[in-house]
Amino acid sequence: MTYTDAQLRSYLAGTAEASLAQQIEADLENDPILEQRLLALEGLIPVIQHGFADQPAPGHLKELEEKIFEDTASEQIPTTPFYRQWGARAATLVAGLVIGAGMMVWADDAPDWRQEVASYQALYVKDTIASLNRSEAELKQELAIASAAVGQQLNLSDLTDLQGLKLLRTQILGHEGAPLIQIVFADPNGAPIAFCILKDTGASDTAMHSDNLKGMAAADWTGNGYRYLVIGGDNQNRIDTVAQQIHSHVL
Amino acid sequence: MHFGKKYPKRFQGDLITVMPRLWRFALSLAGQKDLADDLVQATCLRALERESQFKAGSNFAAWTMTICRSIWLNEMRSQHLRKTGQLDAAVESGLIDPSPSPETNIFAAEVFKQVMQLPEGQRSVVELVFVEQFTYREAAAILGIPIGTVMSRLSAARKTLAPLQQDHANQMKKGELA
Repeated sequence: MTYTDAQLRSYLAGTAEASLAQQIEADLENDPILEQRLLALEGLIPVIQHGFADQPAPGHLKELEEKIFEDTASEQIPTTPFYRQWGARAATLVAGLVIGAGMMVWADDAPDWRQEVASYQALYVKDTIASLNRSEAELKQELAIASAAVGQQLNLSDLTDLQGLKLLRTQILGHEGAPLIQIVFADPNGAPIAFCILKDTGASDTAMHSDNLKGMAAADWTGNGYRYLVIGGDNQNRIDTVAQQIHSHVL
Repeated sequence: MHFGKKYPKRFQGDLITVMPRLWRFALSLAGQKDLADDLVQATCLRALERESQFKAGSNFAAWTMTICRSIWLNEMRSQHLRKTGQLDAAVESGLIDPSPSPETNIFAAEVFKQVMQLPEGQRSVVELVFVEQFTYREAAAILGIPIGTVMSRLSAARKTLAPLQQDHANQMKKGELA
């Protein structure tokens, strides 16, 4: 069943009729897209994240780390998670076989994460993002949390002044166990555009590539163990330019 | 114990990376910072012992949090209950930093306090879904509860925390949070 934003807001506010609330909860059990829509409307999330922004306090875990790891705490810790490295080895093997067969390069990450992101992005309409109104402090805080989750520094200054796009929200999603960051913008007409980052230490560097995914303009590239995608709307020139600007900042 | 000589450093690196998230989750279970410290320490040691059981490609944070929940429920929760005779009332003195930094935001402290005053079941779901941004299904798996229980706990928490949302909106209007 398809729900309007007003119905979902009434569910969140606890004012929905019991039958509607029950139907929404039944659908939520098997509909991750509905869950994402609901969470996108969840006004408590930035409030609660604000409350936890300083938890744990800086330095609080240092002593605990030393207690647990003792003599190894001061030694260099590799930044590449071991399970991603094994994934990388498997991906390299698969990619080699696939390239040999003359097939497409995304086979190391089946199903293609870009298509999955595009399916999600295709559900976004102007109304989805119309109510998003984060303060600069909240945007910075969300970026800080996302930076920690994905292991890449994301600065507010790098995500402003992008072809008239307005930064609205950053959230952490996931793809096959790896963190996937979705940064949502509105274009000058209020239409949704997303910049996504997927950590994949096994991915080989690729140059920027324009594409049309699910009817939307898109540009993607890979570098330093991350896959990147800018997607939304039908203005390919704008998406390409935004992608180039972001590329120059983050990579 | 000197785990560094016995266990792969990459695994330790992953544990250190996930530790802030793990600590917040442990705090949501235990309700007190000193207990959260103990719980994180026990969880990390257990994870190191069970490193070979981690399934490559699965969610490392979720795996460690599942261990954390198991230790809390099966080992530490009952000990704490015997000692103090209470569980859900998070001890305020264990939560509030007596010497907050100048940057400490009064509203943030109030939000944190109110979340920590929720019943244990609600605050752990709020922490996992709202702060760590796990899906309902992932949160249910970590906590070992049905997904419907995640939703009902969130609904109950929303009712309690709803005034914070209005306070937040009011402060935003005044520019106090900018």
